[in-house]
Amino acid sequence: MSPLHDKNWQRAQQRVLAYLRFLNLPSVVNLELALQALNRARSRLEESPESHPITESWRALQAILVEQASPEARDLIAPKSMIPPLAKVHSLCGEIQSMPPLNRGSMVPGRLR
Amino acid sequence: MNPPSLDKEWENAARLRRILLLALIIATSIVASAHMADILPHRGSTRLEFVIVIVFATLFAWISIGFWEAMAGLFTLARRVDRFSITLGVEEGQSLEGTGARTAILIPAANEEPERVLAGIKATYQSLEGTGQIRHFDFFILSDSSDPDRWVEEEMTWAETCRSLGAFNRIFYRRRRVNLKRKSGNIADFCRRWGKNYRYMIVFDADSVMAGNTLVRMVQAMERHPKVGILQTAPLAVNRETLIARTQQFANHVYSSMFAAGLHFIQLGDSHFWGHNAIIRVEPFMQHCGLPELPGKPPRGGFIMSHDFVEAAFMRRGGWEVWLAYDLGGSYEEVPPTLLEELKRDRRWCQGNLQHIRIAFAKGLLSAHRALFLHGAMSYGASLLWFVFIALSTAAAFNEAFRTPVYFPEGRTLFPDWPVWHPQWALTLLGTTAIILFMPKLFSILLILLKKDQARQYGGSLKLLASLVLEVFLSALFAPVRMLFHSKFVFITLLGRQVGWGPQQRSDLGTGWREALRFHGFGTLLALLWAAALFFINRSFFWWNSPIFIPLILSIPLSVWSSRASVGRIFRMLGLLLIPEETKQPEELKSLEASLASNQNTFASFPEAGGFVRAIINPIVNAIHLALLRGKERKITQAIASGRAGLLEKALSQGPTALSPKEKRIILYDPVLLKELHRQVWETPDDRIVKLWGGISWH
Repeated sequence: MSPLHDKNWQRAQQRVLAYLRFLNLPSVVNLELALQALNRARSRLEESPESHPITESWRALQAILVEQASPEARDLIAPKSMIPPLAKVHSLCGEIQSMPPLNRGSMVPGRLR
Repeated sequence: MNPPSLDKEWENAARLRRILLLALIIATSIVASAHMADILPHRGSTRLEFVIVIVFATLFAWISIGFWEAMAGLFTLARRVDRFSITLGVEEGQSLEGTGARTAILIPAANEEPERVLAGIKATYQSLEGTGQIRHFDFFILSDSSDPDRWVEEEMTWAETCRSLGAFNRIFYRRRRVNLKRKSGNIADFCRRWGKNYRYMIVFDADSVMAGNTLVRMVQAMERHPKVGILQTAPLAVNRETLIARTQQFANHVYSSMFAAGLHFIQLGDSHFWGHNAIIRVEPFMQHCGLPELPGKPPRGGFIMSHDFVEAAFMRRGGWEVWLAYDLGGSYEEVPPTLLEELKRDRRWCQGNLQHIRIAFAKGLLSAHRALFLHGAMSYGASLLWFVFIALSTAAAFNEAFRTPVYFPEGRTLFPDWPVWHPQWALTLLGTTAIILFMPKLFSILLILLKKDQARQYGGSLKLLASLVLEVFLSALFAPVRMLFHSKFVFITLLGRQVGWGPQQRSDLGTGWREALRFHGFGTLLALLWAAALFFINRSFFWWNSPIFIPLILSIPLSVWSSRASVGRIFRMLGLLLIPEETKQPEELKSLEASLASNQNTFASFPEAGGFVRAIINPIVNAIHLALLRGKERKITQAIASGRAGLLEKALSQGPTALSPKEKRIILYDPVLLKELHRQVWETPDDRIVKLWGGISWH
């Protein structure tokens, strides 16, 4: 039976697509990434069959997303304009700054007698 | 930093004005109290009647403060030129370029609705952007939220707002781990971390919105008057739909300008700080306004709950002036949507204000601020006095009904002691009290009617007058209910019982019948028993007191109906209780409404889940939360590591509903645990775990 007709592979496909939906990517990009992840997971499972399609597909997707987050790799999956900035999930940590650098001063409680 | 020498001119004027105010209050109170004594059957000669007269004198003095302040406000507004106005010479459209003044806009929030808070910030930001002066301002959301869901939702709404406005590094978000001293501690924490970067800070409430022009003018006023430490605006109440809130909004718009002008007339540079919609000079604030803890246990001791009045007093003690910009528009806030929400807020304020009695007698404060502390305490203490006055009057009425008159008391007397009741004198006194209470309202209306086109903003002259009648009627209905609750708050605070400091409900959700019954049941029962006793024992006194017990008996339906937005909207459709912001909406309020209506959050995928679950499941939410934790992965002990492993196991096997808020916070604070949980939930083939984490919604 083809792996894509196996029930576990269908679940893996659903899981990968569900994850991608959170990233607000265009549908075409979603499908492209999902296909890449499932293909990569299938080759890995051939090497280590004790793992599960869902686990391997999700891990493969993570690896792909990290690769895609680098600007030079981004154009491989879609034209630049199609990927919103927030798709760079793993590079967000380095970009968002919620507070300015500290510049400490003192504020001592006043006296009440 | 030492302030420049104080301006003697305003200080001399303030002294004279306060002496005049005091003389007028004393004179009117003496006349009214003497009249009251004449009305009583024994002309105040019995012990009970004497106490009644004393309580009445105190209460009359209290209401006459408001009356004379309003008259001072009328005088100020009618003159049109006020040489002490702090905004004099501060024109719109001036640039802050070259001043070097940087201003931080602080928005403290504790478990508030993030969408509303950020929508307010967005509206203010856009308005400020429109002035071209945005580069002189930064925004800081200072979160004290303990609810894990709210914490994550705040982060997401902040990130989305920054993204949509392009305002990263202009709007900042900081959440405190330990909520020491609540709002005042939160502001102090900001000052210690970043205060040195800013000359001014403008403090917002979670529901504040301010026009960009107003913010710029506030900075300009501070630049023009280097002795001013705090400049308070008079916020206008807007945006509510429920009947009670629309009544409050109308009253706020129609009467507050006169009362605020009156306050300014009396206080000048010794004014109030109301805790929000005000600009503060940061350096003297850091130097003089750190709040100490009071000795003893809460509610009388501990940290200072109502911090704003104390900060104003400390600023003045440090030699800096505190002014009220009563004539500056574009400053908005929202009132509680229901009577119960208003009363919950009042309970906290009551506790804070009564705590001020201790501070009022501390060394080194100015007498004007001591008076403000006592005035604040009396705002709630007066209700208890009204309650005592009514109870004593009832006792006197019962006494007269049951006691056999003694016409010839012991000792020599030329005439018999004849208990006399003069209803016409009572009516005169009632009329005088009504004038003291309602005359300022009439003058406020007159001021609006005299100004060209202003009545149109309230729906026209006729509708304005009809709204006035409606507001007076509704206020009279709510007054006894407020009195009873405020009396209770004062009483239990004096007994030493503390209240919580939870978030306010700011949306127009109504009050349910069950909740109303729980809160108003006792008052209704008390009023029924009191009315029945009066009816059978002293029928004439029954009718005199009917305006008090009828609203109390009706308090349950009153509370429920007045809390309904649908009822409020009917009055709006009829053109009643309209405010100018409803007839011609300012840009910043339009922007607020649009933001709340659209609420298109990029991170809203999987919206049915709370913030915590979204931080585990949603990869973007997870990544942003991790980014804001600043990625610190610390070395931990074996015990902590095994505790975390247990927590991870519990989270996976039992799902989010099995976790306590504390456990959720531990996970949210721990980047390793958070990443691990995210990974394990997504890569597990176990459908049970997926289901526990809301897996059906993912697909």
